Amino acid sequence: MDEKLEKALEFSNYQKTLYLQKENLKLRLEHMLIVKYDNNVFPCSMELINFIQTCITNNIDSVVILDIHNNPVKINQLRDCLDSLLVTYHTAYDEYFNKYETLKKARNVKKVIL
Amino acid sequence: MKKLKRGFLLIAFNNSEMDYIKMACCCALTIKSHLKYNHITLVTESTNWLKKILSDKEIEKIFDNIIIVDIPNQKNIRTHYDSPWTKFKAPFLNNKRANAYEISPYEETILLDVDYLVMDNMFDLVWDNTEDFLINKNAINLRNKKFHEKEIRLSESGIPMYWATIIYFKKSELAKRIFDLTIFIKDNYLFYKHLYKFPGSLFRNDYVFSIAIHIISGFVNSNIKSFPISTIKTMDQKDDIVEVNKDDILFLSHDPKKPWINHLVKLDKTDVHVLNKRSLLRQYEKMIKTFLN
Repeated sequence: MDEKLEKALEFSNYQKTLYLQKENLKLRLEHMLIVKYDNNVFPCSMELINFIQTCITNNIDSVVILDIHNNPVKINQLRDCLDSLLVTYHTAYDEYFNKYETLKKARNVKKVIL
Repeated sequence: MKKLKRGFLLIAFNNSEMDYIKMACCCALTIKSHLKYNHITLVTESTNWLKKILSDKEIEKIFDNIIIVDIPNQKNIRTHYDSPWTKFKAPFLNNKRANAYEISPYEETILLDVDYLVMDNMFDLVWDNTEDFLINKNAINLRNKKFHEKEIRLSESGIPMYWATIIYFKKSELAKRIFDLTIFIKDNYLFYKHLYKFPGSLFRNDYVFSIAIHIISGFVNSNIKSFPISTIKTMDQKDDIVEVNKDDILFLSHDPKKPWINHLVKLDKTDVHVLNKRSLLRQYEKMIKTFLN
């Protein structure tokens, strides 16, 4: 096989593997952002964190949000809930960032899947 | 029998081609390794084989409870692949799933296929659920593409297909009614095959549960909810496992359009449904060493 073609195919294989691993990291992030608080399960997002923080700032005691099944649930301990959301957010995004950085430096298939 | 609060139910019957008991061990080991609530009941026809392959101490570490039931009286032959190049047929004794509600010793049960590997902690989020019954209807392959068209609906214009791979249920009226329906559908499978126009002659729990959910929902789109992670990552029968580690699995994923091309895919802390059962069995010895010690 022509050497240039062989190199191109090898690079294409690397690109595909890299792409799949990046997609898998994103899915893992989505999974890690699911939080269980006071027996309610909902996705943690920047919007929710900001909303809870805004409620605390405005001395609101409790809020109703939608859980993962779109059922309304009441959150009473806002400060506690915010802490839980922040831990979830940081844990998930830190892992995502660190693994993404490792992937960025991987220059061949072997390193991508290490 | 004393009711246990919560746990996993694994149903496994060996046949001449496939060692479902070994697969149940692999599944149970991953549950024990990754989940806080990890009480496991194995439902099978005998413990003879289990006692041949594992010591009593090892069995105790893997399973908390074993329930002996009659082996299903069923002629159900399934075509399997092990890579795109190896095709074989094997008996598929799967009709006890409909009886899981009666068999389960738990107030809250997660019923799992034994070829499902639990690599993250999603199931810890499920207990004490506000819903009485959870089941997923979405699946993607290792390349993050939707699964085959025929696995999305029962027929071209049919009802959505739910995957009976993972099911959560509470001892509740809704769950009891669904399981009662699955027994009825199982007993009248041919009638429902013609009514819902699903393909093939293989008895599939996915079809049975999809129909039961359709009926229980008043013959309209269902309001039955899915698990917190609503998509099941599924390894195709033509893919292969390279190795299983404690938190990750390395696969060879074939390209369906060019089956001679494989890509390496590593799943890190992600649950996966392993459809190539022989590839899982090839990992059995290593998994026993990795997870048990």
